[in-house]
Amino acid sequence: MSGPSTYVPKSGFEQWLDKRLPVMRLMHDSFIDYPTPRNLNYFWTFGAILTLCLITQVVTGIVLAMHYTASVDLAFDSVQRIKRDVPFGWLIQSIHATGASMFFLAVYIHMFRGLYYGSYKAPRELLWIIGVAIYLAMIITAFLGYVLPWGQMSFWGATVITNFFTAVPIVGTPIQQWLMGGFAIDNPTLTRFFSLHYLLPFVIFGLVILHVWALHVTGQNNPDGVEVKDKADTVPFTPYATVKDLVSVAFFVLMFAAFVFFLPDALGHPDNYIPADPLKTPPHIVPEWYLLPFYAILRAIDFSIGPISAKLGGLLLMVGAIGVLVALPWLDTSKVRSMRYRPLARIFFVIFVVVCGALGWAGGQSPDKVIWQSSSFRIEGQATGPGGAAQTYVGAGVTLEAAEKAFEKEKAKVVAAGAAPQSSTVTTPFQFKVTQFSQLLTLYYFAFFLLILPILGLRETPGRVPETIAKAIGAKHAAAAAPDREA
Amino acid sequence: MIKGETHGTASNDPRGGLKDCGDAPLARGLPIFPALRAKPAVKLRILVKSWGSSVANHASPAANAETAGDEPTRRDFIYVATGAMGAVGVAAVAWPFIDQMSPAADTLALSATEYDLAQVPEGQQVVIFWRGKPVFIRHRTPAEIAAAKKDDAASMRDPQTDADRVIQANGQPGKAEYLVVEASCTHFGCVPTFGGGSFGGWLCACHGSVYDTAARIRSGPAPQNLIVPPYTYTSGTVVKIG
Repeated sequence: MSGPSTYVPKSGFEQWLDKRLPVMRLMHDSFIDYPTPRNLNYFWTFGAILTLCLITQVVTGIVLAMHYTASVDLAFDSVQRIKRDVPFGWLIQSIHATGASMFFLAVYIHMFRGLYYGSYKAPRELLWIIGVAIYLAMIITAFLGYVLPWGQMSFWGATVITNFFTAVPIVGTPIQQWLMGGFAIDNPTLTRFFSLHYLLPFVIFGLVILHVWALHVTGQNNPDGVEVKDKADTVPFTPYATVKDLVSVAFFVLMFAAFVFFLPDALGHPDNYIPADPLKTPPHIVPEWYLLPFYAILRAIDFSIGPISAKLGGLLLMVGAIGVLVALPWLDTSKVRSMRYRPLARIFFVIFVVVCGALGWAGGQSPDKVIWQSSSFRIEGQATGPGGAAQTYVGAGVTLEAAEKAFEKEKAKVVAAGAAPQSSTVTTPFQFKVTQFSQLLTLYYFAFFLLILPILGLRETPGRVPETIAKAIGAKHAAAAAPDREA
Repeated sequence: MIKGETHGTASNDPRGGLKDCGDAPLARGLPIFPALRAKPAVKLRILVKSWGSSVANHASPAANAETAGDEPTRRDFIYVATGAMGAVGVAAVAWPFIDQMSPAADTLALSATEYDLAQVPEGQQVVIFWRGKPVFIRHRTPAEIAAAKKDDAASMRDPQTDADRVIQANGQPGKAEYLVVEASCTHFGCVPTFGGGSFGGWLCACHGSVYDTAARIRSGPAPQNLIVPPYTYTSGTVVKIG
């Protein structure tokens, strides 16, 4: 993508520097004169937003580490001290905690953007895979960080997650104990999680450099999904992309600030304000919102498949949900990159986004919650009347408990009338619970990648793809100039 | 992106030969001789061949590995041997850094704990810590024991008789009135509460696993009964767990 360098060192110092370490040339060619497709929309500004998020998390995190104490006896109090006593600690802690959510919000938009416009397709497969690696590192970092305040959700979240490993046959339990540094989540676990939580952002930083490098080798994709052919298709990064990025960043920071200042706890769980208690499990353990879809997939598997237990099956699917993204460049068989020109794929994509959102909802609910049931519970009892005549009586209710209560009432009436109750039968209605809903959603999640995208690419008739970016823009402008003609 | 060398022409560059490196952006920035860059591919080919010919050499001992160009040379052997030694060295250095995360000596030292069961009144339970994990010690009522014994033959996911549930680590029968089990649900490790569920035992509120009065899994997603930690009675009612 990057053609011959256009950097011209001006001052004597710049010339001196350029012969020894051409760092100014690198910056100039990457962020000033770098040719960007001229049809990029605002979805292409999330790279800049994510860079900002990473820097924010690293800077606030380094500051928090100055005041935080990684010890089971002091961790909870030290976080409270940061919030109450440390100058501006309330602000910095709030930015860091909210920042995690903002980071994931931005990365999800960034990923759905890549999915819609086919940014994972050749020659950008590796760029996409590095992105998946960054996402995975982000998930691990976020999980480790959530344990550090040592609240109830921290502790029990860590317990549930490390318990995943026991699902793996034979080596599972030793791996779990190795990760925890003991037989339960305790001080050794907290100190290592703190150490790794500090390390991983730098790993992410390294991956981001590779991500940007790969991006600058292949060049950016664009909403039309047409490769850049000549200079008419591009504009220089500065000022065009830079200014567009800044506008987007400004709006994003505005929303970020709204959460930091007005809703600092809106995205967290209230139980994390209770210090960790290894003897008391919160009634409903949930991860942070950005991991709920995976939690729903994990819990969707409540049946065993041959030798694979429900626990292991759920774990495999949850890992597979991210793993399938790595294979995506080879699963999508369509020659057309952008879904702007794939009318059928676009519909399946919209369903996919809705399914991901629904999985997130399901992950936050109790798995036994009934979404819909065919009728009420019915208990029918038979009794023999005083004269030997058979009679029946019925108790019904939305839940089994309600039906039983109504049934007992009817029974009392029958007994009062002198009849002897004989037997009873319970009619259970069909219930559609969160677990079944999660199963359907999980099925679509995997079908989208493993069935729909491979088959659709071979079967669908795509729209007419413009030859060049310049022509795509020309056509759009012509349509805009003469809107009456179409009407 | 890396264009540092565009200033020095190939003719006045003392390293020379850079022109031959091709147009790959990375290669342009690195002062490596083309001969060296080509080597790994050749090396790999030789390695693959040497694998095959070493098998062949067994068939015909007369073949000499030192002679032909395609045959592995002594130098190839040194490459492989050095690489193998290097791998062993890396593994030897890596192991301490991996193993440091295993439970430490002081953590393991806590792996046995003693408790006098006489402190637990009938129909009550206490929670003590063993290896940092909570453990239930329940003094069961005769009714609870009878209920558990009655179900010994019932269909269960993890079938065990009530007698098996109170057995000591040394294989001796324990005391039926004292049930000692780890207080973590075998599903995802939540602490179950006594008095819930329809079997008179424990209920795990996390995902609805129900255990009976012998802490056997009766319904819900948990795969196993609550785990009985290894314990022995040291004297009378004093029990040593671990």
